[in-house]
Amino acid sequence: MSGGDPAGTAQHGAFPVKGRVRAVLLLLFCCGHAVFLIASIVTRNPPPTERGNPVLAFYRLFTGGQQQWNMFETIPLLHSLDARIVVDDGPGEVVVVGSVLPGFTPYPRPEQSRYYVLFHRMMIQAERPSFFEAYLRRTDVLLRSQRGSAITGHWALVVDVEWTRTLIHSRRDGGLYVPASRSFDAANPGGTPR
Amino acid sequence: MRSIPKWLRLPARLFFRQEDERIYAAVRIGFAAVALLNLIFLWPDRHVFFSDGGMLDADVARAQGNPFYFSIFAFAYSGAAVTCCMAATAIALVMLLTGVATRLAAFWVLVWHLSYTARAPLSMGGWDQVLRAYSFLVLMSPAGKCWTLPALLRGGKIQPALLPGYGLVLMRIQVLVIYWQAVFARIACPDPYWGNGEFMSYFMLSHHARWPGPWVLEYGGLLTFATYAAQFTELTVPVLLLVKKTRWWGMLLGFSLHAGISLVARDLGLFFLSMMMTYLACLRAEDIDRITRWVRRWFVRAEAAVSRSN
Repeated sequence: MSGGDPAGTAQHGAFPVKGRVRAVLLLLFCCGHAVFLIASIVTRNPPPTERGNPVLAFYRLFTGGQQQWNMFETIPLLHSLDARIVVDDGPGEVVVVGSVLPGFTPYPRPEQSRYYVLFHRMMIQAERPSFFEAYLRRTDVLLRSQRGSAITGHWALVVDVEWTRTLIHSRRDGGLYVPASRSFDAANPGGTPR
Repeated sequence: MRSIPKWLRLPARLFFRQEDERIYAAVRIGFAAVALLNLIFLWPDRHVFFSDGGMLDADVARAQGNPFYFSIFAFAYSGAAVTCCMAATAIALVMLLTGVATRLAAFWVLVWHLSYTARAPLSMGGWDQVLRAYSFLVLMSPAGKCWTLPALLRGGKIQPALLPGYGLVLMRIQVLVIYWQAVFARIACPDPYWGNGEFMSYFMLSHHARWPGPWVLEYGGLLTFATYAAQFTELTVPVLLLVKKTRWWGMLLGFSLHAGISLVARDLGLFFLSMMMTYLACLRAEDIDRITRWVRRWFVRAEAAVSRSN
């Protein structure tokens, strides 16, 4: 083998890294990072809304993020999701446009995981409501600028979902899912059932 | 070379143990390939997730940065700028894959992973977290010259060097964290569905499932077994991977878990590939020798078959 320094391995009592100070610093960093990683197995990180220790958060940011590996910690109960924007476009006229910006393109079918988690987190889990409020505000501005006075008053983001029923109920009558629909707009980010 | 102080000998033995540079090369290539694939899949949706006209408001993303917002998309927010950023990342990933200016390429790849996960946190999957954690570990690991384009162009047979193994040790610990944090999370906050074995039934009826349907209700017993088997696998795979003698069993068990999930779930292929990439850090020099011999033999056989058919 070449390129390394077999005679100077750690096993032989010398640093295999050039420069004593650099080697000690590297070693201390490795020890610290290993402890940080192992500690993250048991310590739960603060939720994104909490600031926590800024130094630790800074370190975490650059070295690997929040380290939250839950692998479906809770059961996934949502079976399907579809989102569209319904615009009241004049007396008795309703226009349906897609919910994806830019361009009001349709929600992708078949569903893609990135779109699914995006809409799911924005609307249903309400993990970060301000993203959703900003989305609704921008949608309002864009619709009014695009359609001008054609919008007589109202538009709504309509979200159709299907929830999985409990196994006990499904086994009883064979029905697997329960549909539900909710509509949102800029003035009503919490939504109302339809 | 100065000797190691006594108090540092134990960690030095762990982190500076000499490892074959081909293991680092395998991780580098595997990481770059999966990250490139992820970038290719993200490409059609780049404006949706990262541009200022997209789904996620830039000001909100900036406000939610914890402790601060670090993203190249704070400056590159137009559609064209986002496209340029991603094209530059594609070039960096190809450079990393081929071992050209490895350190510089790895640095940009880390910046990319920090940037896009900060800009669009709501659309991230588990594989994004894996790639983000590994982008830092790849950057700080020794680069080596083995299995690089410059080495290939120079020609001649290069003897693989020995490099300090600190990068690989940290990567192996990272694999442990990925599995065991999930296990501990369920112990700390017990979820009844993981506990009573119904998790897989619900999973197979959910959005993630490839073939949801009434058949799930008929196979409750099998899916209960699968729920417990998945938890057992999460607990044991890291240990098996870390022990030299059992590493192949760990890889086989982990492969079965993730391949199984990819088979029954839609759209989780990248998570499977990301996790398989993490296993590369658990290889040993003799594994690389064995795989290399096997690949060579396969090429010789393929060559012979082609010449016979001609």
